[in-house]
Amino acid sequence: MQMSRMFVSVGLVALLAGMSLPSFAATNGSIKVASIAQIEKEVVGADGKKHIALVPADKAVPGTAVLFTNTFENIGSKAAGNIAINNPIPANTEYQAGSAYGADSEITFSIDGGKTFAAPENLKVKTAQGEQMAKPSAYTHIRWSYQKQLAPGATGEVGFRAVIK
Amino acid sequence: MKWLKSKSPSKLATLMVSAAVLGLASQSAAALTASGTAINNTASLTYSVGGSTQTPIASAPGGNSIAGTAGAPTSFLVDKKVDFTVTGGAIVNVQPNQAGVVGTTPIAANSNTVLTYTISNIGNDPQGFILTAGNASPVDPTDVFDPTLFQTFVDTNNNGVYDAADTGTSIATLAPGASVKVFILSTIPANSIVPAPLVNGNQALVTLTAQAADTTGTLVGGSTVAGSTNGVALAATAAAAGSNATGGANVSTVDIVFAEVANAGLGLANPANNGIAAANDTYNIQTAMLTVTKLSSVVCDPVTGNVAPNNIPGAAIQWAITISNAAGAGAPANLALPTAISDILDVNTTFDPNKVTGAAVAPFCLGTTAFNAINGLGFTLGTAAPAPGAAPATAAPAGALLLNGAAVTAAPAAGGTVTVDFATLLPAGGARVTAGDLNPGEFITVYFNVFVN
Repeated sequence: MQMSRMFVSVGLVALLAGMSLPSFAATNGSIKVASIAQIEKEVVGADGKKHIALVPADKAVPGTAVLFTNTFENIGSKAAGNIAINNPIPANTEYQAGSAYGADSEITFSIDGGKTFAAPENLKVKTAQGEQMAKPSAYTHIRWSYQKQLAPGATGEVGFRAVIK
Repeated sequence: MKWLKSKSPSKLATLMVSAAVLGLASQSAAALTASGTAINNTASLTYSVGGSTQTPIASAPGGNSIAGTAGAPTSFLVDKKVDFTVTGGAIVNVQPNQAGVVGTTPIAANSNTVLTYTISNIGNDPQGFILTAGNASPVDPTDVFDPTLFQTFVDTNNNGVYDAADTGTSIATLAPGASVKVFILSTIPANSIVPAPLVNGNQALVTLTAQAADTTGTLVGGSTVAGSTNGVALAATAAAAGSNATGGANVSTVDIVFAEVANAGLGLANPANNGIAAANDTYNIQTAMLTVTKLSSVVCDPVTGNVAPNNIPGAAIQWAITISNAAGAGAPANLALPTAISDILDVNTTFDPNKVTGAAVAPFCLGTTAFNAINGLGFTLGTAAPAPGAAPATAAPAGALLLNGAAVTAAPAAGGTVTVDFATLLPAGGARVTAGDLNPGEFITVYFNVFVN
């Protein structure tokens, strides 16, 4: 299992990287990127009251909404700019409309496998009834374009929800 | 893409998975993601420092800052969603004392006690089921009797109706999105149950309960669904210890999650998410509604003959025993042997072996007098609706009366048992499916005379 995940990761990164850069080296970057997957669960707190907590995607079945959270931290000594985070909607999940968030970020979506990105109102598909806005379930990628400089030591967070199909 | 050539054979899989991640693969919206499927998420960050574009960095669950290939997908496995439905709701007409006949296709209404249910797997993994039939609990006010001897069969040949091929008694494996019918046969109680006899419209709710099991049940030969043995009942996976936002959760094994809805309603109280689903069908009593009446009238007496005869010694009394099946009855009553009706003569009366008609004058109102007409060897039968005491419309056909088991050919001797053979009297044909049936709205009357001692 672990091995196959490694291969997945290798292939994915290679493919993504290959789109923007002809070659690259495995060097330390100045931003640390983490991604976690969580689900909401009703738990009973120490006070005996029920509340909703975010827990790892332990019990995740079709229909479960999963919250994917990407955090990024500038671990370098210089400010970083032009930060963009590209997140393909995981296979076997469906983007939940309106769930993408990210402070100071312009959020755009792709319906063509990440080739082009646009705001939801500008994503159009041709149907028998004419051109219509693409449904969120048709989104393939999300992109956050961070509008600020990320100072050394500063962090940012973006995320979205997707429902397991 | 040179790296493809230098790596192990798994790069083809790598490429395929990457394509899927990029949204190039499509999946039917109807099918649920299969249990055990890995959901992988990887974000990729591009940035620049001092105006220079840097190498993209891929995410990792715990964070990654090494550019290029060092990221790792945030991954978890889709768990086993145990979700299924049992549907019933059918109303099947039955008669008291009717037994479920195994292997017999119900070819007409009321011909067998088959109840039909449907079990549908709406989860994301093949699923076995343990089936249990029983009387509805809690008992609903409309549930007035309890069938017994339940037998449960799966639609082994998958043709939608119960028949001899349906020998499977459990569901060994039902694919996600698939459905199968399940049949329950039982025996309906006799209509003499306490506190009240069964009457038309009485109902019994019968519950089919399906419990989720693994797929280790033995398949019945030729079937891909029906089993001859049960699998092992599933238990929901307990929450992982230390389950919180930072770790300890069980994301790399497939958990069992019960997701089926509760079943409530008449005679049903099954909570949600317990791996069990249930539904009720209904037996509805639709039977013959027999009434038996016995009326007497004086045919003649030795004093006044047949003119205003009185009930005095020597008088001939005619008894008329009428069996009727009500016009609104739900089924014919079969009166063929061994069904019997018996009548013990009062000690103060003597059976009239010749069944005098009373047409003669007073002095001849005696059984031994040759002037009395003989009609029906002591009995007559009628299927019309005569007024009490009136002459019957139909003489008994030959063979309809038996004396001590043999056809009556002469006036019956005293002391014998006379039997009416309704199968002969009510032959099959037309609306009468089975000889001896007294259809709804029909009746039959047996007449005989006695003399007052």
